[in-house]
This record gives sequence, C-alpha cells and structure tokens, in this order.
Amino acid sequence: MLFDWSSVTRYLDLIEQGLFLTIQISVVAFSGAFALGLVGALARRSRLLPLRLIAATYVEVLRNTPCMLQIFVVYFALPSFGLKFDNVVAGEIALALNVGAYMTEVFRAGIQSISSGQIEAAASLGLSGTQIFRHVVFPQAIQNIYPPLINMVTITILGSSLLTAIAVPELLGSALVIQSRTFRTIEIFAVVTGIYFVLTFGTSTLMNLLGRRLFPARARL
Amino acid sequence: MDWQAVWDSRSLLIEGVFLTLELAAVAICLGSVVGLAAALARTSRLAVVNWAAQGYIGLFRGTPLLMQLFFIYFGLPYLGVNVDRAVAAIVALTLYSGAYIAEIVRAGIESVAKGQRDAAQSLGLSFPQLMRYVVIPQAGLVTLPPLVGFYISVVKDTSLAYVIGYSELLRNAQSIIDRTARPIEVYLVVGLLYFAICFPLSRMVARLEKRVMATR
Amino acid sequence: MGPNRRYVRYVAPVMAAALVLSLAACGSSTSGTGSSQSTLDQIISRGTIRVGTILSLPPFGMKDASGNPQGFDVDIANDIAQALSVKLEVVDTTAADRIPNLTTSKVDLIVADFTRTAERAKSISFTDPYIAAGYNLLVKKGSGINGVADLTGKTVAVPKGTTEDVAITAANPQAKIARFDTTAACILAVKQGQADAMVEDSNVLLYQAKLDPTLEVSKESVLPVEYNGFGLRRGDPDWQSWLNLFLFNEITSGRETQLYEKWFGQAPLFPLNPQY
Repeated sequence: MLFDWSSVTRYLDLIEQGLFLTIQISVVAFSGAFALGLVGALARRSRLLPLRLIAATYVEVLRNTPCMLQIFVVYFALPSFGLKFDNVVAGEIALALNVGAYMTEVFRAGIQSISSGQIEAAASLGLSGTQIFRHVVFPQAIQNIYPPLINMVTITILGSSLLTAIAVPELLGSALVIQSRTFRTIEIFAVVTGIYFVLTFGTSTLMNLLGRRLFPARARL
Repeated sequence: MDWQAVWDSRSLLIEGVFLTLELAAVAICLGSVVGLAAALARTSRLAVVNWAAQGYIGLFRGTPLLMQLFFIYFGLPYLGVNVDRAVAAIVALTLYSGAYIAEIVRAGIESVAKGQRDAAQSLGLSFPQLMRYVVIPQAGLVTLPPLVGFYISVVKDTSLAYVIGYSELLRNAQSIIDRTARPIEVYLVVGLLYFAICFPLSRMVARLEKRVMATR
Repeated sequence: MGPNRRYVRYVAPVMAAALVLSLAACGSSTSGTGSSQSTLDQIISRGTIRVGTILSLPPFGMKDASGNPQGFDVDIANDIAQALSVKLEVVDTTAADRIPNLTTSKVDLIVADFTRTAERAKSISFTDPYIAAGYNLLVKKGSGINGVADLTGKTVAVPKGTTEDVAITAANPQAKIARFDTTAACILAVKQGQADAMVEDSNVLLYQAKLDPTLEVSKESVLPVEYNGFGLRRGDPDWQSWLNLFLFNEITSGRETQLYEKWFGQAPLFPLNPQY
C-alpha cells in the first residue's frame, strides 16, 4: 500500500482554513441554537396558546425533517421569498434552527425537572418572576442538562460538515476539494477524520472538565 | 407555484420513499445488533475487548457520517475490499448507528442502580441471569425512548447517502429539481414526506417517555 | 461458569473478527482490479458494462420523470453496450468522483464530459475526443458580466473536481469561488441569485439558456476549447484501442452529430473531424 502523504502536506493551508471555518460555524450556530432553545422552551411552557403552538410546530417540523433538506431550503429556496443569505450565513442559520429545536426539548426537560416547590418557595420569599428564573431556575437547569448539552455541541460540530453541499469551504469541503485535485482518497480522509475526532473529543473533554469546576456538587457527568 | 411538475414525477418520489425506508430498516436492524454487541463488550472485564469497543464507539460518534460514507465507499478498495454504493451505504449507516445505539444501551444499563447489580451477584446470579432478570426488564423501558428517537434520526440520515450516488428520496428530489427547475415545490413535498414518516414515530417516543416518567 | 468460559466467550469472537479482517486485507491484491485480463474481456464475459455518467449534468446526463438515466452520454454508453452485445449499467457519479470510481473499479468506463488533461492522465487513461467544448459563463440576463475580468468581487459557482474549478481559481483570484458538488447545484445557485455566474461546458450552458429565458451565456470564453474523451483505467491497451475504433466509427458515420442534435437542439459547436 503506497501512501502519498505529500498529497496532504501540499494543501495544509486549505485544511487550516477549513478547520477555522468549521470552528467558527460551530460556535455561531450553537450560540444561536442555545438562544433559540431557551426561548423555545419558555414559549412551550407559556400560558399563551399561540406561543405554545408556534414553539411546538417549530420543534416538530425541524426534528422530523432531514438537516440536509433544511440547509437546502434556507440557501436555495428562501431567496425566492426575498431572503437571500450567503452560504456561510445560510448554513449557520440552518444549523442553529435545527439544533435549536433539539435544544428546546433539552431545556424544557431541564426546567421541568426543577421542582415547583422551589419556585413556590422563592415566590413566597418575594422574588419576582425574572429573579426566580435568573437565580433559581436557570442555574439548576444548566446543571441538569449539562451532559445532553455537551452532546448537542458535538452534534453541531459534526453537522457543520453538511454545509459542504452549499459550497461552504469548511473542513470536509476542503478535504473533497483536495481529493479532487490530487485524486488520492485515503490520505486526506484519514487526516480529516483525525482532525474531526480531535475536535469533538477535545471539546467534550474540555466541557466535562469545565462542568466539574462549575458544578462541584455534581461530580458524575 | 407549479404543482403539475411535481405530480408528474410522483413515481420518483414514491420510489424515493421506499428506498429511504429500505435503507433505514436495514441499518436499524444491523445497527442494533452491532450496538448491542458493542455495549456488551463495554461491560466486559477484559481490557482488550473493552478498549476495542470504546475505540469503535468513539470513532464513529466523533466523526461526521458524511466522512464515514466517503471513507467506506472510496477508502475500502485501497484495503482490497471493493464495495458498491448500496453496500457502502449500509455498512456506513450500520457502523454509525451501532456506535450511538451502544451508548444509549449502556446508559440504560447503567441507569439500573449498581446496588441492584451487586445484590444480584451476591445472591449468586450469573452474568446472563443478571441481565435477563434484573437489568433488561428495568433498563428496557428506559432505553426505549432515546432508542426509537435515534431510529428516527437514522431515517433522516439516509438522506446523506446521496453523496456516494446512492438513490434515495433526497437524491430523487434533486433530480426532479434538475429537470423541472422548481426547488420550492419539490422541497415542500419532500419535507412533507419525511415529516409524514418521522412524526408518527416521534409521537410514539413521546408516549413512551410518559410511560417511563410514570414508573419513576 | 468459571473464568475460563468467560474468556472464551469474549475473546473468541474478537479474535475471529481480527483473523477474518487480516485475511481479507492480505488476501486481496492492493490494486483495484488485480487481474491482467483486459477490461474488454471482463465486460464481454460478464455480459454487462458499468459506465460512470454524471446524471446531474443535463443534457449530458440526467434522470427522466421515472428516474431512468437519459442524455447524450447515456445514449453514447448505450451504443457502446450494443456494439459489445452486453447490457448497460449506468452508475451515477459526480465530477469529483469520476477518477475514484474508475481507480477503485466501480465502473469500467467513464462517459461523463471528461476533459483530457495531462494531470489526470497520470492516474487514468483517456481515449480520443468524443466531444469538444468551450467554457463560458452562465449569468442572469442583464448582469453585465461578459468575461472573467467582470468576476472581480462576484461569486462564481463551479462544480468540484472539474477543469473549470482549477482554471477559474487561476484566472481571477479576486473572484469569490463557490465549489458545489454538482453542476445542477451551480445552475440553481445562479437562478436563485446566490451566485452571480457559473462556469461550465458551453454545450451545457447553451442548453440551459434555452430552457430558462432569464439566463444567458457570456460571449467571452473562460478556457480554450477542450477535448473531452472517455476515461478508463491505465494499463489497458486492448480496451483503449477498441474504444478508439468505436469512437472513430461513431463520429464518421454521423451518429455522434445525430445524437448531439437530438440533445442540444443544434449542430455541434465544435465539430470533430477525425483523420485516418
């Protein structure tokens, strides 16, 4: 088996650019998903029926259709309705919407698991709704959902690879371009697989360590 | 909006639905077997077996499915194993599913309190008896919602097989768009088709979750 | 159950799997075909020819309403199958996957608007040309883009793994290049305004401009005329000479022109005239 590693080393700058773009997209998309998830979870628990319906529809539609299709819709179909985004932004939006639907359910479970007794006690102590959320509900919710949260970050990083279909030069896309120039498959795929593995494993390990420091009471993660 | 063009291509869409379901079914069945085996391997006290399983699970959960598809389709021939696109799609989806299912099963097994497992062993139950009478009945129900939830993702993830030229619903949708230049109508219909397949399964997951909650 | 039984239970399957895998790796040859028999003979004895075509490149290759392959390349592949008296199996590929599909023996032949370049000829072999093409830009009418120089700061879509992908990168470094997996995706990007222009075989572009009156083809060409041939694995002179003979007959008998007019609706842009 003859491995030609020069096929990879010649294009290191492309790989680097792809890696940075993957990280950027993951950070932006997950931040959006986090915000959407929080808003969505609160909307689903709202007393207003229209809000609950909108949130429920959002979650069900985005969780029951493929992410690839959602990416195509945001990039190729929305321009017909006057919403034109460039490919990186379109990809970030689509990913944020997709992961946001899952985050909504994660947050919802996390908030629900906080016993109503605590909320009643806080209310009887004179805390306002916002204060209750900020000081009682939210910190505990984050602790509860921390493991699935780390999972969602990994899913976002891996989901960014789908953006190669809309010509985003992220890590996988760069690998495919290099493959099409050098005609050698195994070397570049092996390298990129390794990079993805380091990215996801490293991120989840870091987040686990961070969790242990932030939430010392919950040692088991 | 021109729906006639989409209606004319309905045979392609129906074929796509069947191809998608077919691939998903095979991947789910094989993946469950692989996942169970890997989960059991993780409980083994033999370091080699445990680490091999951990390596497999970590690799396939830590890399994108798109990458795995390309690797298996174009990379395997370099190791002397030539696969056609159907086999490559099945192998990739199976290995990918197996890794995730292994983790879901492991979480389910571990949710059965360790105290119970220790008690069972001190009563003299062997490993298979422990599994059959203590762990599986309790873990089974807890594992079902995330497991079925993952099966739903497998159905959606079949849409990635198009990158190695495998024909399924999304690829057929793109062919229709190539010919008719009507992306919006086609995306809408295809989205509805996926939704029609996945939503009932999601409802089932929600019902299962309620039953699990009731037992806690 | 004693400790020995437990070992057997867990170790045996793992060792068996490892044994099978290593046998598979060593037993098979490392090269794709591992056979000294010409592809020509393999096809005839198998009774089927597997041809790689791009089914997302209308009108060279596409799928009809029932999902069956059709197009200029498909018809040529059919002619080849008939000349060999074998069945045709069309394998859908993308531009970037043409060479990998060939070198890993998933197809016997590539008939996919494949441009002959020296770089590619290091990995695979080409036949004589079967069609010639210029490369122009496809833009929306009234965009004001006439040539490569106008692409500065604009987004231009190209399919991954094509000669235009490499060429446009060099031709105008100030252009923003969007590399899609298929030509069809590039066309959709231009139609939806996500890209200002795309580069492709002028045969294809003229066909697309006919289908969609909002699109037009630029006057200026981006690359010099290229000659596209069939792709086959290296080291197969018998297969190559059969294919060249087939091509000679196909072109001189007028069949190629006939197929071109059927799919492109006009006489060939760059007629071929093979000399004996």
